[in-house]
Formats: sequence, C-alpha cells, structure tokens
Amino acid sequence: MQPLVLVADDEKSIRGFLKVSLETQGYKCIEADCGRATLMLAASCNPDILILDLGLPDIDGIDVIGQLRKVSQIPILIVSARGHDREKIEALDAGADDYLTKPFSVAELLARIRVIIRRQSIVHASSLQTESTFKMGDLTVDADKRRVWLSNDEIHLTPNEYKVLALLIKYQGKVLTHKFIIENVWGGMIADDTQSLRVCMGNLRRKLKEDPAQPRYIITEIGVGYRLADE
Amino acid sequence: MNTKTDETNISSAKQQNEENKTFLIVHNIVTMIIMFSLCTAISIFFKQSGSLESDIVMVYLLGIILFSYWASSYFYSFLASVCGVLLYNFFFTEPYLTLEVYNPGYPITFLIMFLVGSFTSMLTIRLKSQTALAEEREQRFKSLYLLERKLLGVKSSKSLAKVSAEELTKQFSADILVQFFDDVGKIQNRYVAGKDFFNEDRERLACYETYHSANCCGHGTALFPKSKAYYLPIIGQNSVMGVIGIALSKSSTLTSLQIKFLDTIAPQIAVVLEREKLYEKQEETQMQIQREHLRADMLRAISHDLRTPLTSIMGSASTIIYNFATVSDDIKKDFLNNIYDDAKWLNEMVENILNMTRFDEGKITMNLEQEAAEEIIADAISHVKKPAGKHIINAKMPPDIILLKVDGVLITQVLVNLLSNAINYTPDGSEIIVTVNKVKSEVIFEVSDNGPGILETDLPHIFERFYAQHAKTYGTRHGTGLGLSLCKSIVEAHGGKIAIYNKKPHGTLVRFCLPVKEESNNATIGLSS
Repeated sequence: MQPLVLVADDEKSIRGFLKVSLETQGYKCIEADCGRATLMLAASCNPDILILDLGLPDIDGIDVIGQLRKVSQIPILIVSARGHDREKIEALDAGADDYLTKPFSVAELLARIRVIIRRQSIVHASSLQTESTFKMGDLTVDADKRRVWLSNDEIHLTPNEYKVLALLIKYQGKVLTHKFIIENVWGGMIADDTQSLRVCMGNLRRKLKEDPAQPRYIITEIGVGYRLADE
Repeated sequence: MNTKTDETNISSAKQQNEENKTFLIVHNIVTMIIMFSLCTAISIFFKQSGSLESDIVMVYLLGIILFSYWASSYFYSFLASVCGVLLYNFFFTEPYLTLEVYNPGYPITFLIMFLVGSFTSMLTIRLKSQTALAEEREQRFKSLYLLERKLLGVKSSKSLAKVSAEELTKQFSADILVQFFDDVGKIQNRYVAGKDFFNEDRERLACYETYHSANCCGHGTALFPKSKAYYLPIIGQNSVMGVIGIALSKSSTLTSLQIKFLDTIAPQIAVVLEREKLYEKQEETQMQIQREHLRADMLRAISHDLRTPLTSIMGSASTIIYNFATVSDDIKKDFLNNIYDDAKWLNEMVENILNMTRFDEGKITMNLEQEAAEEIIADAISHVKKPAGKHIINAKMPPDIILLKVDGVLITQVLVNLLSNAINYTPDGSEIIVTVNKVKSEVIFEVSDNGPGILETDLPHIFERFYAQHAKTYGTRHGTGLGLSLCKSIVEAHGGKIAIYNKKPHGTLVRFCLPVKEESNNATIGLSS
C-alpha cells in the first residue's frame, strides 16, 4: 500500500514541488494550507506522515503539534526557516520526529521520510516481538546483557554512556534534543547542564572509534541535539 | 516601629543639642568669671598702689572687650558689661562692698562705662564673626574655583557624575548622590560617593520628586522631610537634567552658605552636562552617517552580486521554456543544474547577508552554551561534504574533549565559511585539514589547505567586505566577499581573534582563537539559560 503523506505549507509552489516529488517516489499526497485544515485532514484521512511548516498563517506550528499529539502518534517532519533554532527545539520537544531547514533539497527530504517510515514499521514490528540485539555496521549492542561490541572486541561503557547509546538506538534516525537526552539519562537532575552530556558524548564517540570528520554512528546537530545515523 | 525609632532618634538628637547648649553657657560663664576675677585682682593691686579710679574703669573695660573676644553671642557681652559695672560699684566705690553709692556723679560713670563696654564688645563680636565668615567664604570660593576647573576638564557625562560626586563629598564630608536623567526621564548616569542608601524607596521618591518639580526636596524641606538627604535639582537650559543628593544627619541642616555653594555649583554641572550631551549626540550622528554610508555601499555591492546569478537563472529558465521541444534533454538537464547551483549560491549569500546585518545592527543575540569543539567541527564538515566533491577533508583532534562556551551555530558558520573558501579556491584533489587545540586558556582552530595560497597584495584586505572579487576560483561561482568578514565579526563577538597566513611552499592557513572561561558547574547552569 502506498504511504499517505500530508503536506502542510502555506506556499502553493512549495506544496506543488513536494507533491510532484513525493508522487514520483510512490507516495500518495494530500495538501493543507493552514493549521485548521491540517488538523482536520490528519483526523479524517489518517495519513502515515505529516510534513509541517512551522509558519502556518492561522495556528502556531508548535500548537498544531501539541494538538495532534493529544490524539495521534503520526510521525511529524518539520520544515522551518533558518535561524529559528529555538523553534526547532520546541517543536522536537513538543513531539515532532525530525526537522529540515528551508531551503532543503528534495533528495534530503525523501531520505528523511524513508527513515521515518522505516522506523515506524520497526516500532510496529518490535511491539510484537522485542528485538534484543541491535546491529549497525561494526556495532553490536545486546540489550538484555547490556553489552556492546565493536567488530568483535567488546567495549566497556559507563552506565550513563550505555543509557545514552540505548536511547539513541531506541530512536534511531530521530533527532533527540539535549533536554530529552538529559531528562531520560540523568533524570533531570542537571536540568540545564549540557556539559556532562557533551563529555559523555565525547567519551562514547571515542570508545566507538568515530572518525571526527565523518562520524559513522552519532551525528551532532549543533544547537539542537544528536541522532543515531541511519545505516 | 519605624516612626518610634525615628522619634527616639530625634529625642536623642535633641538631648545632644541641649547638652551642647549647656556646655556653651558654662563655657561662657566660666570664662567670664575668670576674666572678672583677674580684672578685680589687678584693680585691687592698682588701688593699693594708689592709681587713679579711671584706671580701674579702664581695666574693667579691657576685661569686657577681651572677654567678648571669646564670647559666643551679644547676650554675653551685654551681660559682661552689666557685671563689670556691678563689680566696679561693689568693690571700688564708697561705701565699699555694697551696691550703694554716695557720690551722685557715679551713676553717670556707670552708665558710660556700661555703654562703652557693651558697644565695644558688640563691635568685637561682630568683627570676629565677620572675619570667620570672610574666611569661610574665601575657602568656599577657592574650592568652588577648583571644582569648576575640574568639572570643565571632564570628558563624559559618566565621569562628570563621578567627579562632581567625589568633589562634593570632599566639600561636605557627607555621602553624595549625583544622578543624571536622559530626555525621557530615565536614569542615564548615577554615581554615589560614600554609602549608597539612596536606593531606598523614600530616597528614590524624594529624588524623583526633585526631578519632576525642579524644587529642592528632602531633609529640611517641606517635601519628604523625613528623607535622609537633601536633594536639589540640576537645571539646564530647558529642563531638569539631574539631581544632587546630600546625606545629612537627623539634627543638622545645611547652612545658608552651603546652600549658596550648591546653588552656584549645580548650574556649573548643568553647563558641563549640556556640553557633553551635545558632544555625545554629535558623535552618534556621525556614527549614524557612517553606518548609512556603509549600508549604501553594501546594498550597491549586493545588488550587483545578486544580479549575476539571477541573470543566469532567468536566462537558463527562459531558454528551456521557449525551446522546450527543440533542445535536447542533456542540455535541459545542464541548464537546470545551473539554475539549481545559482539558486544555492544565492541562498548562501542571503544567509551571510542576514547574519552580517544582524551583527551590524548589534542585534545579534548569542546563544552561549558549553559546546564540544569536535562536534562543531564534525557538523561543519557535514555541511560542506557535498560541495567538497573531490577535495579531501581531514580533521585532527586531540584525545581530550575540548569544551568551550560559544554560540555553536555561529562558530559552525565560521568553519563552514572557511571550509567553503578552501574548497572554492583550491583545485580538485587538494587536501583540507581542520585542527583544534587547547593552549592555556585559548582554543585554537585551524583550517589549512595545500592550494595556491593568497596573493600577498590581497592579504591585508582579505577580511574587508566584498574584497573577494579578484581571486581566482575553481568552482563555478566567485566568492561573495562576505564570508571572511562575517567570520571576523563572529570570532570577535566571542572575544577571539582570527588571522590568515600563506603556508610554505604553498597553501593557506586560517587560524582563529577563542578564549575559554573556566567556570564552575553552578555558574554554567546560571549562564546557559
């Protein structure tokens, strides 16, 4: 079945090229030009993914996410103008899955959509049977035994490093904001302190033998957060 | 509660005042007794040695005059005259040791003696007080002159507040507030010499009342009499420009001379303040004109730069539209690629211009956070990975994690600009190396390439806006001439330095240093919000 994409943007030309690009890739596409239409279509058509512009004319994008999250778990991909980092973080914290900065390339957008849809199907599958080992490149993580291997060498992580890695794996491909990671790993004990997080990430990256110029596993989104690379 | 303590304060002050008075009375009377005892003793000696009676009168008169030299008021000189006459009568007129007289000529002698005594002593006291007054006045004028000279030498309204407050403290030996207001009544400069109790609510209200009413307020006046200080306005040509506050103890008030002094000095301060304000306004206008010039230059340069890619976009698009059927797909694709590249270049340009104008207007708000240097570098490299094409980008990082408090997005922008330059100005296959190191309290970033380097004549101007136009590029586009200038603005906004060098045998090296401020965790939490 073709996945259904809801495109919410007030610019007609942007909706136009998104529709064409998506349809040539085998997606079905419906359009909304304002927040109210977005909420209505999301409720009535039950789309598989929502591409949401934060600058809709009637309802603030963050509110749209908030209202949607009350009733559905539909994946949301944010597109927003540059220089609105705070807005991006707010959107991610409100429950958006990923973001792209305008102007973006269609290839990038399609790649992000593929990741989101694949993750969605994994979430559905893993709710039936819990997958205990995670494999990606040379990295193997055994969730039951809490052990991590790189190639065939076991690497030893501190409890917090393991928690961070497990969290990234759980949301593979999704951008996790600093706040989200800190709350989930440190339990909000160090509310605003990103320093511990940075040091933890640095150590984790060293243990995973990441190439600083081209990290394979953990990707930094400066000013926003981290994501685990997608294959 | 408060009023009660006030009252006790007042009563204790009164008490002290009374003690002072009693002391003065005792002092005067004791002096008088000593003086007249002496006079009487000398007179008895004269009488024994058979001198004339008029000599004794003279001795008493001399005593009265001498006493009035120490006496504190006319009352005492008058009293001394009466006592002198009575003593003379008692000891030296027949019958002795009574206040009666036999000789009918004596009452006239007494009257004249009394009148001469009181007049001369009054004159003495007057002379004494006038001398003191003259001395004080001279002192005041001298200090006024010195103060005026100091005020005239002041260079800004801020230091004017400081200098006048400090000088007035010296004059009055009290805590002094000098506060200037701007045109809309906001506090512009404020300086307190001594203890700063002027922030208390009542004092602030008194101060504002002085400003708004242009009348003296506070201690010793009808308005805010309970205030701890006396406030007087600094009145300029058109409006009240500021307020001077002088702390006073509960019982003391300013003397008329002190008030006169203040009334003389306040207009002087106003004159200097007006001069400084005019000067500051002029500076501001000059800066504005300069900024306008810069903006005009920038707009001219930008519109020229924008027109080139736009021409290319419009040309390519219209060629495809009008020759859609006749042109081959390869050519179409080629043109569309050109359009895409040009649009992308325009986007980068706009991005840089936006950042630039934000810096120019001083409106940029930096979102400072603890960032790891390696993350910033990785993010920057990921931004330029695609345009890098056949260039080789290597990053060399130290084993330790380098944390620094910066705006991560802006520093990433610096690195992206430097990397883009390295890619654009070097041939395919060139190697670009990014390094970061911590040396003492600085983090040093370096971006170097092994390309042809920069012309020596270009080096001094490389950070100037729109300078890049002449350099040879290997990509399809020439530079915007904004990248390096923006880098400089960002690095300097972080308190860092940026420099560019040519490498031996060839290649370019850009180095920028950012200061690291070691902070405790608590401070980090406080500042990162």
